[in-house]
Amino acid sequence: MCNINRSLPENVVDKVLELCTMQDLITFSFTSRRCFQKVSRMGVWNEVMVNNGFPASLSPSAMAHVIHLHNENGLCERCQLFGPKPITPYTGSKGDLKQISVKQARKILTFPHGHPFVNKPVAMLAAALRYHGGFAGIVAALQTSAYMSATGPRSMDYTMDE
Amino acid sequence: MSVRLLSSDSEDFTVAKEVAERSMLIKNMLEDVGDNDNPIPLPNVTAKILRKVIEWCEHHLGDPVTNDENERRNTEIDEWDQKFMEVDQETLFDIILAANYLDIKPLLDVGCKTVANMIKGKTAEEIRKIFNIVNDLTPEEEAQIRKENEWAEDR
Repeated sequence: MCNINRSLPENVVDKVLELCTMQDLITFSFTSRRCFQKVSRMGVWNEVMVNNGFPASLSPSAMAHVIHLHNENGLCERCQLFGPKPITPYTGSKGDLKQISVKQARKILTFPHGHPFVNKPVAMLAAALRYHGGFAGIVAALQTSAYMSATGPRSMDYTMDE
Repeated sequence: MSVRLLSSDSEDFTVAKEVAERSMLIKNMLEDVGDNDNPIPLPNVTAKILRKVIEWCEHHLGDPVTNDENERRNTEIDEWDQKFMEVDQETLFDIILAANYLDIKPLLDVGCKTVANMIKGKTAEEIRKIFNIVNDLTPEEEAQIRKENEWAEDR
């Protein structure tokens, strides 16, 4: 039996993973540490963003920077300096994710996770995605923010302002 | 007009030039060396795999070149290609490696789609078994990855 990672070159494995669905990619990432690293380094988070209505994709260099920050520190620089904000675990459905507009996402990304060096909206979103563990974490962060407690999640519109 | 190809195990194949030119590598070589009778050495492809690759190229000789990204990302494979790819895993990987080396994009696409379809809908344990992957994640790491991705399973 052949090991996919040892038998096929990187560019071919990347090509295979690009053809997988999100669900299959995530399952594949559970199989080993190398597969997890492979999946987390590919454009999977970009795809999540685009699938959830965010118009831009992250450049490889910005993604590399965000991943480096996360891997080195486990926190974004702002959180490391001022302390992370406690996050309430998200228990809702994925449908609720559609409640977030880019505008609202920017609010949570600039406060409290605005990053001095990752200051483009999409790069900040990626930083938050990795820090909080996907969109669910962002929703949780939104739910704990002052903005959310003032307006409530159901009053959000789903618009793109960027 | 025909072209001679020499496999890594020294088997000589004579194929039509148009068939050989499905490979960008061979096409570029032919452009560089011009017309001559010398066989083109392919040190990374065995006779067994080269035979399969030639069979594929002959069948798809008239296919239009597609640059449609949606078409290429689609994991559907036509019936003939499905049958063609019904080989043991080692042969499948060798065909993919040959397509990559010979730069035959459509064949590489079919190979990658076949592997992607082998992953489709499987559990992590099934994928490990199919591709001989050793699980080196600790139970804590596995639980953490699962927790972080719970949102994606809810659809």
